[in-house]
Amino acid sequence: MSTAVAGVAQAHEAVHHEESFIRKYIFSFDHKTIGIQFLFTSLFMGIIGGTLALLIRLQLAWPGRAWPILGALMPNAFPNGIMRPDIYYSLVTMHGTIMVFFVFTTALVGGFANFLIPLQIGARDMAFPLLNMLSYWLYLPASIIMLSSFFVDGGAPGTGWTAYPPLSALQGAAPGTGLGQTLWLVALFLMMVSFLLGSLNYITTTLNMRAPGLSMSRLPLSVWALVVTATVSLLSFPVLLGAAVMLLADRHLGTSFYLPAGIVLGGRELLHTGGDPLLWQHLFWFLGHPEVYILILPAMGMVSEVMATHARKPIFGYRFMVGSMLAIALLSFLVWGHHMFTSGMHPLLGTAFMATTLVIAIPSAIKAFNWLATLWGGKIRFTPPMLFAIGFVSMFVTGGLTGLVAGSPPISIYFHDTYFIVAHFHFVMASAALFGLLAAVYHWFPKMFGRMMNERLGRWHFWFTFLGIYGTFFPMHFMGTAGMMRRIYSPEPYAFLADIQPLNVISTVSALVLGFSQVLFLINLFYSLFRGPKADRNPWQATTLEWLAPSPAPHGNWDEGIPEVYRWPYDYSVPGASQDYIPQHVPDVAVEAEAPQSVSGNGVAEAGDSASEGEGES
Amino acid sequence: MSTLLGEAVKRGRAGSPVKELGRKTRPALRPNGRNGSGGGSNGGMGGPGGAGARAPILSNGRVGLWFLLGSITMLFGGFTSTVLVRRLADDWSVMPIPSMVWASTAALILSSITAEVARRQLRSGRIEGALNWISVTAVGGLLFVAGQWMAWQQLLGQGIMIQSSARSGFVYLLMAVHALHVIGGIVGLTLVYRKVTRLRGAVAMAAANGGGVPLALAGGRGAIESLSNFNTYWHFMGGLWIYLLILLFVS
Repeated sequence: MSTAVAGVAQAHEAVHHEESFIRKYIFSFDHKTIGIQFLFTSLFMGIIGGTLALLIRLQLAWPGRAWPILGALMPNAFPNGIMRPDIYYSLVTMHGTIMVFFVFTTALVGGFANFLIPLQIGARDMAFPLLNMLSYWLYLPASIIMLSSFFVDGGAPGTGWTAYPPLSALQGAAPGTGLGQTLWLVALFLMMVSFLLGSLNYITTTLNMRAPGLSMSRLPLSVWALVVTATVSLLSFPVLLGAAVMLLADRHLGTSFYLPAGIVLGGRELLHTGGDPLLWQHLFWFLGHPEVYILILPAMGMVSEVMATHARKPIFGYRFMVGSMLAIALLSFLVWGHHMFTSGMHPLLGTAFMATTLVIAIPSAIKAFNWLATLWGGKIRFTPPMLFAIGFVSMFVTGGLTGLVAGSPPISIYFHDTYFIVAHFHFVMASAALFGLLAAVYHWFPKMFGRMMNERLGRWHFWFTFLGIYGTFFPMHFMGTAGMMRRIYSPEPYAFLADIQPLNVISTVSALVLGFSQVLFLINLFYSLFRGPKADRNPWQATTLEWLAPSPAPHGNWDEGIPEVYRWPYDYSVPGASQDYIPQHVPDVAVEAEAPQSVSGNGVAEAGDSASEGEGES
Repeated sequence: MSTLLGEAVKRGRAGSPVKELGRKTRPALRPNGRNGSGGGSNGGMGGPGGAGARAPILSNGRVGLWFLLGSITMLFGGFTSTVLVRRLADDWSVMPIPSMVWASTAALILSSITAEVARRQLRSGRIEGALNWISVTAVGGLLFVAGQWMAWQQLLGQGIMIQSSARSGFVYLLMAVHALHVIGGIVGLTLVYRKVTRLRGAVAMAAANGGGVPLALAGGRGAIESLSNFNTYWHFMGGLWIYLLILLFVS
């Protein structure tokens, strides 16, 4: 299949012409448009996923309370304004699924890999533009199908985002295990195929289409992160794809891949024999664990990029940053068992999974220290992207430390399925990915739309989000330690949870603050889209290639021909240079010619095109 | 750690030009052009080595193909692990190989050979022959899919359905998933066929305009490349099928 598309790519390369509206904005082959499509669809899904989370929190803080407004809006789900228990499980399931697969994965990778890779490596477009378009046009129907499960008979599935059989494999075992679960599986299937197409593109483009002089050791860390992520998804998604096909077969064709003998449903014994529900857990987590790195690696890469730019310093330990990403990617395939310590696995196997899990702390710590060392002594500009990048490190460290706790079997068995785990992954994966994503949006918005976002609103957004997240998730550590279980409709029936109910209220109030403060972001985003001040080519005075292109970059990206690369991407505050940044496309000759000027105090960087002018002077 | 931070501080204050004036090269620890395409050879200037100097080792199609095959390997690797676990259960039973499977296997192996013949024909410039052999290959692929379908009918005739046993579940499922990949290959092959016909047109036009045929043939490298990529995929599908045959039917 890919062979045929290569021809299309070449033909496309030759003619970058004016395009019709449909070709330009809807069925676009342009990587930037596709990236923005991914980003905005993910944003829409994020609003839905976030709203579901707020409904969950309302129920947990004030279980059984009637909310007349919700009753009026959704009389079925909230009879008399009180949430139905099965609706609660649907909300939990859909919140997890949407946030993991349809928001963060697609925004960070689908959005930014598409947008950034060709721009940062100096290419005109992706290697296979047709596959790229298909990848978005599989993602969009997948999103629609996923959401449609809310509206079918029986409602959305309530089996958790992990969809463990037997519950998920038996139609009619619970509300939502009928058509809703089938739609869930179909949507996930389409989304994974979409992702495989995208990943093929990201890898091939990065390996083959770099500008002259841009060796792999000169790649921006964001590109490294995205291409490593693509490799991880290319190797882990197929396994879940196969697992999902087998689950569909168990549901609809009567096979017994996951279903053991002796299941009685509705008073009737089913005909299944010999299947093993644990098989699904193994297959699911073989993807599921790499999946959390699929979220966090792109965030790590883009945060490194943002941090170097706004601290005006080279990233500390470039090689170690790349190496630790590769190490994390490799280890991600060897740790899935730590999700299953309570499944009755052999203690020796559990110990092996503990060892691989704890080893991940080493590359993670390398990265955390390298970010801190990058900040150390830098001339930090506290712009919104920088604030979110620093916030990312905070989230990652907070969540990473509890990962060490949860990674060892004796402790994990106690914490399994408690709010301690909820706190852990909401910090290390969800919040960190959110901060990485927001840092990236604030940083690359000027390149996407040619306008600047409002800094003041951005700062307010940061502080509300930062405090909101700590307020929401930090108390959950204590709830989990006190024994509060995950996925309970109401803590009320459990006497031992009565004392921690105030923590639930704190968490919910913070979540509401967090949720509504995102409105600041949406206002900023859409206002700036149309009314923001115009951005010039290089508003952040950054070094990487995308800032050489016009803002917004036109179809074909480079108005002055494909750039050549002469240096690594982090030449900030180079001694003797006239400015505190030297873009990648500036030859050394040009820098040396300018060097004497810097002694006479002309060291302050000018905004905009000064970089390309510098090249002209040489 | 303190030394690391010390290094960071030094580099953070690197803006003061006086101390560093004599140093035209970059600070230590940073990757320079040495790994680049000959960038380091021209006196440490770290240049790009001239425009267009860096041709990729493998074409886009080739790189994409290898990663696609890696991905398919993981898919069937996942299935394999499931089979290996599932066959430990007590309901794992012996199952006869439906005779049609031998015919379809033969069709797939033969089509791999004809695909190779087609590639040789195209490489030596016999476009017409290549087109014929491509057609034969596509027919071989279709025969394979039809043979698999008839094998299913044989199984159904014996009363073996997908839900009958643990093994039959895998047999039906993996045969279907593999056949879908083969059908995908046939779709790809029709696109290769179109590419080769376009090449035939270009060569005919060059001949009509007097000479220039070798030049047009040189332009046929894309077509040869596409066919080679298809062949790799096709051989992979053949090998995969023989592997599945052993996995599914040998107990």
